[in-house]
Amino acid sequence: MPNCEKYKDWLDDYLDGLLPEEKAEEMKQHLATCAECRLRLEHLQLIASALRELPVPPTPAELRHRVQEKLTRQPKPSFISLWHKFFTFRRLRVIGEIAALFLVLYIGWEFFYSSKSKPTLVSEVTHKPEKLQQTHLQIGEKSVSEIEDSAFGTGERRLAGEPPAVITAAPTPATCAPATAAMKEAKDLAEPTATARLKEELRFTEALNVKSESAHKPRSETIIHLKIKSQPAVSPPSRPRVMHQTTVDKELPPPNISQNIRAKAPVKSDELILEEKPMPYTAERITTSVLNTIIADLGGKIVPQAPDTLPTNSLHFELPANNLPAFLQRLDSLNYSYELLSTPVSSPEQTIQMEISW
Amino acid sequence: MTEKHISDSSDLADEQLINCFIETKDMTAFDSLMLRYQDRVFGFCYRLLGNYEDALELAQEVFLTCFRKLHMFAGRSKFSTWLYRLAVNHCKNFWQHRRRSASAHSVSLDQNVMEPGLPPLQIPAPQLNPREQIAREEILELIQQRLQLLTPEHRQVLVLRYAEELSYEEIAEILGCPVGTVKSRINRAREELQQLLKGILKK
Repeated sequence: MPNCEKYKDWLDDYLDGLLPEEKAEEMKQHLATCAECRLRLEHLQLIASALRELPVPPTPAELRHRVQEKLTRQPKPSFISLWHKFFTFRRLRVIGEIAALFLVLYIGWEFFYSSKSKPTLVSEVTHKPEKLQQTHLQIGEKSVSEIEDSAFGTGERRLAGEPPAVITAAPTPATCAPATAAMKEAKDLAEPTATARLKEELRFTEALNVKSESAHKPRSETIIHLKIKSQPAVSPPSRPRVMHQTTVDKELPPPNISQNIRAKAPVKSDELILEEKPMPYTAERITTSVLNTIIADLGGKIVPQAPDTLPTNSLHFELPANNLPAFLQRLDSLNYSYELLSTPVSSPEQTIQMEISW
Repeated sequence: MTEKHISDSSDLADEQLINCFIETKDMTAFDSLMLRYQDRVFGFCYRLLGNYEDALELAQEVFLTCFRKLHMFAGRSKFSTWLYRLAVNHCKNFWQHRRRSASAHSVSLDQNVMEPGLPPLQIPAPQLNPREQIAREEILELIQQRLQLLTPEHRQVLVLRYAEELSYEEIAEILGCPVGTVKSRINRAREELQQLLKGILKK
C-alpha cells in the first residue's frame, strides 16, 4: 500500500502523542484498516517499553567512594602540567599574534624613522640634549665665559686680540661663587664623553663620505659654511685654579673628502690650564677669540676680508682638510651648537676654505 | 552561610549547589550533587555499554570530569543535560577503545544472530519458540540483547529517547546536532533494531 510510507513516518509521533489532532485521527483510521501498520506500531511499542524497562543493576556505592578517593588523591599539578595548562594552543596563538603585531609596528617605525632622519646632515650634527640647551639658557644671564679660558689653552692670550690691560677688576669670590657653581654643574652636564664625541665624529665622517659621493650635486660649494646656533656662556672662575681636560687619543678614520685628503688626523691630548681672567662680557668678542685660538691650534689661518664683504659676526679662514673633524670636535667640546650649512667638495688642495658665522 | 547551605543540601536546587561548590570548593556540595545524579548517570552508562564494570568506570569518569569542569557549566541547559553530554562524550572514547582492544569477542552485525554458537545472547531458535509462546519478559530481554548490537550512535539515541525519556530538543542539545538529525537517527535506529529482531517479532 503506497500510503503506508506516510503513516510509517507518523508512527513515532503518534506513539508519543505529538501528532496533530487531524493527523492522529487519520492515523487511527488507517491503523484500523492496515494490519501491517498495526504490527509495526506494536513492534515500536514493544521496543520502547523494552528500552524503558531495561534492567539496570543498583548503583554501586563503590562509585562514590572511587570518585571521592580520586578527588582527594589528585596530585598537585607539576610545573610541566601547569606549563601545558597555561600555554594552551589558544593562548599561544594570541601571544604569537601580539608578538607579530609588535614586530610589524617596530619594523614600520624603524623604516619610517630611518627614512625620515637619514638624509640631512645638519640634523645629526646639530643634535644636542635638551637639558643642555636649557642649562645654557639658565646661566646665560648671570655668568660670563669660562669657555674663553679653556679655548686659550695654556692660558696665554695668543690670538684673542685683546690685551690683558683691558681687565679692570677681578670679581670677588663672593660675587662669583653661585655662578661658578652653576657653571660647573652645567659643564658636567654638557661635557660630552669621549665615546659620545667619537660617535659624533664617526657620524660626521660617514655623512661626509655620503656627501663626497654625491659631490657632483650643485649644492656643494668650495667654501664650507658653518653657522653657530648657540654658544655657551659661563662665568669667570673666582680664583686661580688649574683644570686638566684630557681627550681620548685616537685616530680618526680618513674623512675621504677627496683622494688627496686622506691623512689621518690624530687628536692630541689637550691640557688646558685655566686661570683667572676677568674679561669684558661680549659674546662676539669671546667667539672670535675662541675661534681664533682653535684655528691657530689646528694649523689654520684667518683670511683677511675687506671690511664690507663679511658681517662682523662671521669669520673666513683656511684649515687643513684633515683637521675639519678635529675643529668640529673642539666646537663640540666647548658646547657650541652649530649647523653645517654646506658640504666640502673634492678639492685638490689640502686646505679647505671655511666661513663661520654666529 | 555555606554551612547552612550544605547542612540541608537536599532542599537546594542544582544551581545553588553548583554555585556553592564553585565559590567555596566545598566537597559536600559536590557530594550532594553526585548523590542526586549517580543513579541516573550510572543507569545511562549501563544501558549504553551493557556492562557493569564499564558502566562503573564510565560513570566515575563522568563525575571526575564534572568536578574539574563544573565552573564551566553556564546554566543555559539543565544540569542533567550537561551530565548526559559529558557521558556521551566519554562514551565515544570507550567505544573506540573497545573496538580496538576487544575485536576478538565482538559480534558482527552481519552475523546471523539466530545461529547457535553466540553464547552471550543465548537466543532460542525461532521455530522452537514462536512469538505467541514467548513470555513478554523474554522478548524484552532479547530486545535488550539486540540493543547492544546496534551502532553506538543508534544505541545512544534510542536510550536517550525511550529509556531516559528525553525530548528531541534535549537529545539534540546533548549530541550537539539539529533536532531533524535526531529524529532521522531515531527512525534509522528503530529500523535497524527491528531488522535485528525480525525472527522474534514477526507474527
